[in-house]
Amino acid sequence: MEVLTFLANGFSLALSLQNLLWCLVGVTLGTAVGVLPGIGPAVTVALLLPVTTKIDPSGALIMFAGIYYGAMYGGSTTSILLNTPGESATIITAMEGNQMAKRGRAGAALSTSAIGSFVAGTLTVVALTFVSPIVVDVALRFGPPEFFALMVLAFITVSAVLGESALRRLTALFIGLAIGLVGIDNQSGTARFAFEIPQLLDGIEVVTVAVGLFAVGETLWVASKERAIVDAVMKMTDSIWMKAEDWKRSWKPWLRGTAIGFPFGAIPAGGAEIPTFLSYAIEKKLTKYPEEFGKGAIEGVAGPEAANNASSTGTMTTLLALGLPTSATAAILLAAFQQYGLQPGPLLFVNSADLVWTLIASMYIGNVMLLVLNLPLVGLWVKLLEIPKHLLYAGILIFATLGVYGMRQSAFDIFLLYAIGLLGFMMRRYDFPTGPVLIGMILGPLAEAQLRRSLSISQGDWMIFLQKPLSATLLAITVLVVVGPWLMKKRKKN
Amino acid sequence: MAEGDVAQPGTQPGTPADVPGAASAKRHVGQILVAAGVVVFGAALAYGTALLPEATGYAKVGPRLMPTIVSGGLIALGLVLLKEALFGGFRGVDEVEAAANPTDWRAIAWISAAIIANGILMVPVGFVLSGTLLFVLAARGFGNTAWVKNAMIGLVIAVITYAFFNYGLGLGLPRGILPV
Repeated sequence: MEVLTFLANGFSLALSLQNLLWCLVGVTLGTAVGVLPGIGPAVTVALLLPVTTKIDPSGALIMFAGIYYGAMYGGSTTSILLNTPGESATIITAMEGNQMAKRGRAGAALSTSAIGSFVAGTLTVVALTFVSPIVVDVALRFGPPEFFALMVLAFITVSAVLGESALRRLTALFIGLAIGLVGIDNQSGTARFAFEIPQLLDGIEVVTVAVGLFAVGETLWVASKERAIVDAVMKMTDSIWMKAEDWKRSWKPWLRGTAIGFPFGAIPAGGAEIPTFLSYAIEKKLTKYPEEFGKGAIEGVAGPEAANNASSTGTMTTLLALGLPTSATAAILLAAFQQYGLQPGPLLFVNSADLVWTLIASMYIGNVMLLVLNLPLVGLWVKLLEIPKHLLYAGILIFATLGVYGMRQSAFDIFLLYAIGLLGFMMRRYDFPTGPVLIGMILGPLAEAQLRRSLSISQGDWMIFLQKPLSATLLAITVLVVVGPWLMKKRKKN
Repeated sequence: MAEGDVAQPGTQPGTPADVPGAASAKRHVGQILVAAGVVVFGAALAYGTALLPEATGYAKVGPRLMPTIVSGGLIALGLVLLKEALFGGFRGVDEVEAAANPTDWRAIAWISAAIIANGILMVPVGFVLSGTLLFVLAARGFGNTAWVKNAMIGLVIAVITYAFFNYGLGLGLPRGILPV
């Protein structure tokens, strides 16, 4: 099998001392920022983008990917011990896992989520290994109209579809698209919305937007609600090693969570929290102990945590094989590829096969490292939760200004950072998700290029999107995804 | 998605007395401003788009196309948001809880001062000292008044990050008034 040859080659490169080291740095940093409230993988990768000028692409991308999936492991530790979900995808863990911790079962909760994350992480990397070449094969036949249709589908699935916040998600996406317009238009050389400010002519830096929305916005938000938020770190009183009973109750939820999470990460219909909710609902239905749900049932931690982790690999699959970012961190990873002049997508598998397969192999290795980091060494990470809030957020702000200034040595960007931080604060206050802003900002210019290329081919005829069977199908799916839930709601009402 | 979303879960259609227009509008002033802000932003973008040069070439697609789509979308989304804000509020946003949990504007002022001062001082004073000041002011924003202790911690963090990013990664951070 060709895939195995590629993978073996990837392993031989990923196992070099240097790449192992980058992988270890990535997953360690990822776990740390996953544990720490107020800073997540998106901000961390954004702040580290300047290193792309110093290290080779495979080292940097191995590290960045490690930060991404490492943060999924670390995030569950915080949710279980602190009951403040760091992100919407860990709401369930914060609920059920914290209940377990309250009943003196913090160790079992931490361990079922770490092992579940490992199971999900590893199985889904296997899936990524075998699915992505198939996707690439199809996508190699795509022209501009097909890519544009695919991006429209991605915009819609990322932002809308399900939930009460669909309208606000879509608005956030469009704000991101607007930010992406600023600067000199690549194809015509026209300056757009730059007001003759030199820093704006170059476009707004991804780092500034990511750090502004996530780090500065979050800091403002937490500070403004400081009096109301009372966090108590739970103590781990039981053993970190699960009992036979816990294993028996965990393994099926792990597998089911994995199966649910992977496709939802690849095509996130309605946000990252949906697969964890789904997994929770299914486990609640299938369990022999329904009375424990809501009071700390181990299945309710095992399933959603596996789903959460599996979805992050699903996201990586879509990013690598199609070049579509379906989460905020994936959008930044895309920006990291762009720093090297690389564009993820089918052509990357053809032109930079070594790089892609080294990265995929590193994900197998990284998951093993994470299991060690998060099981025997979990006590170390718990200590991070004891950092006083004022020191933690003040430190985050130092890193924020450092990364934003360092990107292009411009103090203007610090003021821009503040403005975007205020936007992030307002969005948080009125419950607008911030992730779609980043996706819109990074995917927008790519979509625009494909749109204009398509219309150049067709000499301005929009029918080109319907005449190509593949793009017509993708657009039909998009319409279905938008209209479907709405029709179902209508029917329910009548 | 305009019509189907209007009825809020829980509110029975056909009992308009439950939603007294004036009272609910009063409660959602912030939301109305946010929605109006989106409309104004979209309109400003549309105005800016109109000032862009016309497309040239036979394809008739140029730098105006995407901004036209984006500004149109923002105006439309803003109008639907406005409708939600005026009639029952944004779906799924709990204003009652928000009101019970007021925003601490003084904290925001401290942190704003911290970042703005950093932007002003970064180049003339240098990364280390402006970073230390940022740290102290931000910690104050979180209600901590141990100025000296915070200044020392901030200084240590700033020096370490400066050394790492400046000499390790060659990021070129401003030295300012310090000798190294």
